[in-house]
Amino acid sequence: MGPESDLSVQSVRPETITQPGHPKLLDAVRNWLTKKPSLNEGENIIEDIFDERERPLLGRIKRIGRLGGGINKTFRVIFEDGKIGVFKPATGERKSKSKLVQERRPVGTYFKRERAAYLLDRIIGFDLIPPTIIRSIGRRKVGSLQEFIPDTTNSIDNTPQSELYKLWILDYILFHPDRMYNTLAKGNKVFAIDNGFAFSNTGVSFQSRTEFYKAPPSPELVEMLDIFVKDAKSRQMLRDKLSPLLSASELAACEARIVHVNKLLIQKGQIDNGSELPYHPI
Amino acid sequence: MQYVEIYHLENDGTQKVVVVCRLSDDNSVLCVGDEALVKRFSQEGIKDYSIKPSRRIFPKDGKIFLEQLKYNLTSGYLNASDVLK
Repeated sequence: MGPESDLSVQSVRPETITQPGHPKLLDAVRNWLTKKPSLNEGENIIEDIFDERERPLLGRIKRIGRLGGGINKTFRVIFEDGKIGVFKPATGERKSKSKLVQERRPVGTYFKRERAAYLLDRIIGFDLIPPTIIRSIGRRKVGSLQEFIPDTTNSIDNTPQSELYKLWILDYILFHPDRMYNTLAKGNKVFAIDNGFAFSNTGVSFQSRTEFYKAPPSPELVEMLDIFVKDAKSRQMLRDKLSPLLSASELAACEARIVHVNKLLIQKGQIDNGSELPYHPI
Repeated sequence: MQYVEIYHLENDGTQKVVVVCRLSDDNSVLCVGDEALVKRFSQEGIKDYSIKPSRRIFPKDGKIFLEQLKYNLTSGYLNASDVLK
C-alpha cells in the first residue's frame, strides 16, 4: 500500500471562486473563508460549487494519504471534521498497458469527467453520484474530490430493481463502460462511483444490463427525464456546466442520448436490446 | 506464487485487504476473503480490456484474470494491486 503523507498546504484564494446565479451561496462561502483562514496550503478551489451538498468538500483538510492499488493514483482525504473524501489528481492519471482501456480517453481529463458526471446527475435529478468537485490540494495537484460514503457494500443483491434500472439509464447517458464494481449499496440506495471514463466513445461499449430489456421503467424515472428534456433552461444549464469539462462532440452525444432514451421510454415504454442504445443517436 | 491483493477503503480512511487472489499451478486463480466479492468474481467475472472487443473473464482464466483486476477495480473504495510475487 502507498505511504501515508501529510502534504503542505497554502492559503485559500477566495477570488478564484465564482458562483454565477447563486450570489447568496457565494457570499456564504466567502464569509466562511474569511472567518476561518485556512492553515492549509494549496487548497485552492478551482471551480464554482453547484449546490450545498458540495460544501463539506470545501472543508479544511487534516491529512491526505495515497491509496494502494488501481491504475491511477488515488488518495484518501481526511477533513478536520473527520469526514473523508476520495481525491484523484490529474497528474495521477496513467496510460495503461492494456491499450484498449484508455484508448481515445485523453489522460488528464478523467477528473473533469468525474465532475461532469456528478453535475449531470444533479441537474437531471438521478441522485446517484456522491458530491464531486474539482479542487487542488497540496503542491497544486488538481483533481476530483468525491465525498466518501461510509457503511456501503459492493453487493447489490438487495437493491430495488427500480433503483438499478435508474442506474442503468444514467449509465447509458454517461456511456459508462464499466459499472460492474463501481456500484455501492447502502440500504435501498445505490451510489455510482468512479466516473472518470464516462462520456467518451472508446470502442468499449456502454455496459448494458440485459435483465432490463423489455422491462418497464418506473413512472418516476420517465417523468424525471421528460421534465428535463422539455425544460430548455435545464438543458442550457447542463450545456453551460459541462462544456468546460467535456469536448463539444462528447457533450452533443450526451445530450442526444438523453433525448433518445427519453423518447424510447415515452413512446415504447421499454428498451428492447442494446442496439437501441448507441453512443450518438441520430 | 503470483497474487493480487484487493483493498477496501474503510470508514476510518484506512485500507484493508479484503480479498487475495493467487495463481495456482494449474493456471487458475483462487480468490479468498470477502465472500460477496469472491462470489461476484466467480459469477460475473471482470472485463478483459487487453483485447478488442473486451470480453468477460473469470478466475478459471488464470493469469490474465490476475493482470486485469487492477483495471477493473479503480474506484478508491475497491482497488487491486499489481500482480505481486
